[in-house]
Amino acid sequence: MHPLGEKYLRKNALPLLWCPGCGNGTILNATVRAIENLGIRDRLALVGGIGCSGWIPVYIDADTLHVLHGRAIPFATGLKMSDPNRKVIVFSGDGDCLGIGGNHFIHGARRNIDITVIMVHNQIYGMTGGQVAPTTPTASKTKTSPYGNPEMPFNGCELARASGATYVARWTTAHPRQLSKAIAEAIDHQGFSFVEVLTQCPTQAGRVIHGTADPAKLLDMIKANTISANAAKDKSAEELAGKFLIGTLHHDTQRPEFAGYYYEKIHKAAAAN
Amino acid sequence: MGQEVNNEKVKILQGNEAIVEAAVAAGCRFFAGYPITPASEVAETMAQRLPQVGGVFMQMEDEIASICATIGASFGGLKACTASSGPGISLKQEGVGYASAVEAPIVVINVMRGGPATGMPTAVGQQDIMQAKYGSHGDYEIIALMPSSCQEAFDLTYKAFELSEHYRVPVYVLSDEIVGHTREKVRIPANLSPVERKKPAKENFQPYKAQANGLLDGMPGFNEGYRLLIDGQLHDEQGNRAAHLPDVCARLTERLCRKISDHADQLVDIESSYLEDAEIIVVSFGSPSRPSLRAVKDARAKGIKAGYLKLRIIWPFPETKLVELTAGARTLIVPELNIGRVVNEVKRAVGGQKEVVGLSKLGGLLHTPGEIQAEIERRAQACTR
Amino acid sequence: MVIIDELYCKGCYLCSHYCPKKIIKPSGKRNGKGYIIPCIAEPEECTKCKTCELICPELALTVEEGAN
Repeated sequence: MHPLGEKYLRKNALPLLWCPGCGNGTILNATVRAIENLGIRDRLALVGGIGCSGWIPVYIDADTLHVLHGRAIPFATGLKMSDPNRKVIVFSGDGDCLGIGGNHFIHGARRNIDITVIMVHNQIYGMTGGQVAPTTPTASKTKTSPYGNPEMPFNGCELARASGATYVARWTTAHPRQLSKAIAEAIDHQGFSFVEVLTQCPTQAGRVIHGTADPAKLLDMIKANTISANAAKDKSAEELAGKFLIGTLHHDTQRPEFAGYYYEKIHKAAAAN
Repeated sequence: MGQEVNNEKVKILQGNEAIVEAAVAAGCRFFAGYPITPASEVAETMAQRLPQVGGVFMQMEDEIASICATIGASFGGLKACTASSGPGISLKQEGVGYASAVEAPIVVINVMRGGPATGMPTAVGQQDIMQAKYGSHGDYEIIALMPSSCQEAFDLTYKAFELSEHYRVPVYVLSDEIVGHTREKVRIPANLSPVERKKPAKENFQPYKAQANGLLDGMPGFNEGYRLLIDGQLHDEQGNRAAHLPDVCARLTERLCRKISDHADQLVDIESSYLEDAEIIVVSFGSPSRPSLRAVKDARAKGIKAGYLKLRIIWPFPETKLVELTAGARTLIVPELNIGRVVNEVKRAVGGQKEVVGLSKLGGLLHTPGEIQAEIERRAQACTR
Repeated sequence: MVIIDELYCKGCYLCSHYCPKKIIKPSGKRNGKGYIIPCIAEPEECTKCKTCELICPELALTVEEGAN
């Protein structure tokens, strides 16, 4: 085990429950590096939703709440508002965050509450066996879209930005170095920060949508379907069709953060009482 | 507002406001809610009052978010509360189950209105009593208190926080639209000293290692050095998932239930009058308690040996005490604002040993004293015939 | 030097695929869980770029400083 694994993982919870080649472990790996670099272990409050990615924080030996499907952001809101000094990180899958938890997601972003949401985007409901997700590409065949997905997928980053998130980034698990840096930036940011991670799911999305369970092949496909936000500036709409922009997509340090703003009012009200 | 006499403040408060004053007095410093009739005044008053004592009020995006934020704040270190009614309470049920499983102390205020569905938003009901006990999936136990006046709204909400913290369980205050919207005199003791959360020892700490009585010892918070793992999946004593371990899961489920049911004797809160020679006893709870007491007094004036009970804690159901208190009676009358739910609990408790009569009232109106008295007289005549 | 923790490796070979020098190869040896674990076929070629360490989903790889 890597020394950072020795330092940050709950030994009695190992081995990690994910399938071989699953990207969730790479995200865990990137997260512990971000935590190490920021030196904030004792201020952390970690919240996991339901689904494969919801288990990421369960393995990190800090304070962890593993909650209900879709509700990670409200639990995180309670944790943040009960002590504004803590740094709260939510790990949520695309179904957890954009499907059942979509309303909480847009309202968390609207408030600009200082919570970091790391959304693991694997195009499918993996833990339940490969059903169509809010991020599944149109026409993809899954267990619950056997004739091809008739729906359009969500763009999580655009939704986050439009809803009021003040830090938005997207990377893939093929970019672990950049991913770890983005997670650190997101945690450090004062406001609602959103990091979308495009990742391979060999067992479900791989077999069901892409016809291969080879994690490396899948990750290559994901990587090939991205373009850096900078490079995209010079491209036409046709050239960008179907591509995911990667990089820091939005960073606003001006908008007031909710907990700080509200606590000022609370302090005033308490002093006047 | 109000005046202080003999170490107590006397205020004219709405039931919903009394709940807030009690919560603040009990040390509640976090509330998350969503507007809904007839509970909105709880949120409105919390929004005003909590910041004055350094607390946080959150209006969340929905009812589900409200209870989830409440649980988050509870583990965040604050005594925490949410409130709603009817459809909102239905939406919160998954959160109630989660709080039960992870043993989060929270208080859930239900200002009951008529249902089902949108039902009767501005009219009273007591149709959520079974929901309070059974509303979420899986086996668990909760505690539920039922005020019948603004004073009891204060007293029982205060008590709800103490019980919730002691048993580390969600506690319901099953108030109702009548109590919530009645304004009357409330005496608030000036020298209340709510119990502070006890912090577990850090040496050999295990978040779900219970004491011999089934209860967890204290309530740890996030960022206090415990490195907590709190998981809604059934877990072992360290908090690790245990859904693949039948013995561990069975033991936890049983403990979650028995930590309440084993202490049922300590969770009895019953008021009574005229029981000594009573042949017919009205077993009441919540708003119908008030016309019940009037009816019993009026029946007594007519020479009928009527008695009165008010169950202030409805869950766990006080069956042992109820049997003891009603031992001399021939008939029990159970007025309730639903199709007849608690009457079955009373029947089960007395085990066919006496006549148990339901007096169900639907439609959003409270029983009149006359209606209850008429039932008492009918039963009295049936006995003498 | 690259250390592979055989206890945690699940044999996914992402390390091998993304190694810019392509020096991580199957060892032919199975660990206790039945996964064929990789080995560093040409350690002297390693540039210590740490890509393998960063991408490993099991945190089972460690690139140590010093001589290969």
